[in-house]
Amino acid sequence: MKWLLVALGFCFTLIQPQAMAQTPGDALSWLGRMAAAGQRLNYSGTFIYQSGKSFETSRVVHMMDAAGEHERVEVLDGSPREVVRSSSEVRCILPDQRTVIIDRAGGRRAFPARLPSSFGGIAENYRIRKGEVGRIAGMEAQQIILEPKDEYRFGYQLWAEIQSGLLLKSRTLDDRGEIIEQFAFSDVKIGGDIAMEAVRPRLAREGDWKVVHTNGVEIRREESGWGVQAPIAGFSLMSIVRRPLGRDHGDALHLVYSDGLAAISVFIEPASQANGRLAAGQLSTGAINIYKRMVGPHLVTALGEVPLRTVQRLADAMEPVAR
Amino acid sequence: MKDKLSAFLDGELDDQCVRTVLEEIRCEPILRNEWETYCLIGDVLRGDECVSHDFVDRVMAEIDTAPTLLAPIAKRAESAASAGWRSLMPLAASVMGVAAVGWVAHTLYAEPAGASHVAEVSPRLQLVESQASGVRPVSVTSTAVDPHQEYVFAHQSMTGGGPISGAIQHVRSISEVGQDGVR
Repeated sequence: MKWLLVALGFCFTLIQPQAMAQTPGDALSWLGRMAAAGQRLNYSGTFIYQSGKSFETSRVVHMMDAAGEHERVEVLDGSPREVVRSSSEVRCILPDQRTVIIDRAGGRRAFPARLPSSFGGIAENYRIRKGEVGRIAGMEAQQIILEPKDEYRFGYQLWAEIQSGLLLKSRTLDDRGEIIEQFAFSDVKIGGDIAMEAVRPRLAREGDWKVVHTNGVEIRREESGWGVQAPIAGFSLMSIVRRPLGRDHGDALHLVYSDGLAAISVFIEPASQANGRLAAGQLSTGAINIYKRMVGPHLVTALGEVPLRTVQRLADAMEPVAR
Repeated sequence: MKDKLSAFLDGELDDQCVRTVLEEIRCEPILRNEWETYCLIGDVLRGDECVSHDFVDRVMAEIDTAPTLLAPIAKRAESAASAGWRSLMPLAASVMGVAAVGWVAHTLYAEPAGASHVAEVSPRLQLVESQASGVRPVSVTSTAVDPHQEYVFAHQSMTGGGPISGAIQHVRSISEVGQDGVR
């Protein structure tokens, strides 16, 4: 009996370090697979976007060719709206508001920015592990769980299709474990040919529309004239862009902070009568929290898919610095 | 004659008048219809008919929701002649009663469609409805322009949008889901 226990103990010591070494790395590599699959694969399907207690159904078609990515998302509930995205441009078409918002790639910045190539930051800020294998949209999916290490970020549960790695479902959870946002495919076809026609805009634009160009010009950190008093651990400044935000806003300085997964944008613009009406404390919309404050003659707006305390702390820490 | 009918129903007529009214009901088909309607309303109000345990509450709630409809009619009638006003009251009551019975039947037998019907009729009920329900689809008629749309759009086009990639994350920019409450 003794020798059996010894043998079992020996086996266990052999297995355990291997398992421990494998788990986090394995889960991180799943994140890499998901990011790559989302870019490289052809897929089309229907997904449900849920924010708080409301939900909306949309259809997505994604195609990759020699010119890069082509993608079209069409909202199926409520007023018709669509997003058409290519390697060089993304546009949101909102016929109900007779508005189209366009952003084009420019300058040095990679477009569109994607899941970071280095996942080091993620492991520093989140406890990451593999969950169960489940079934999403009729396919086998591996669950990946990301738990935040502090109260400045949300938690995530992701499900990736076993064979391709395509993200089939994503859940954002607050510190009480409540779901605050969810994307989930209800039906998806992975692979196969997709005609160019399927990724072209469909909603017709006739007559007088409001066209908002938000193309930014990237500027150097020391040129921005703004800085953060007390940075939030884990969030680092990724990029600074000067960009227009439409008639009501004028030019805004756009600073982007990221912890490797979640991001915060800080917009700084001259306060005016038009945007002054928006200058009121805090707002929340699903996973995105918004916090606004006045700093002298400037309106500072911080927003991101992080808890309210995070955008509030970052906005409160913004201050002009001598150039 | 209608006010006599009403008084008869309430048991406020003397024997002589009762005989006259009964005779009239026998001879006059219109009056007979009125009488039947009154009896039906009476039965329903007394709970003799199998309708619903909270029927009276719902009728009272229905009457509460529509005071502006009734008041001008009553006022006009009063200024014209008080007799006219008196004769209109039972009619108004019967119309309200029949409407209430119809409404109750509608909500009883067509629950899902009934919910949206109630929401159309009364904004106050709609508010209660939206607070009470759990997961609900987005309002089709929502056309409110989100003042933060450009900010969210610019944010999404610069960042990975969390684990969601590509155009899918832009659903946040264009979604009506987040607009009906807080933004």
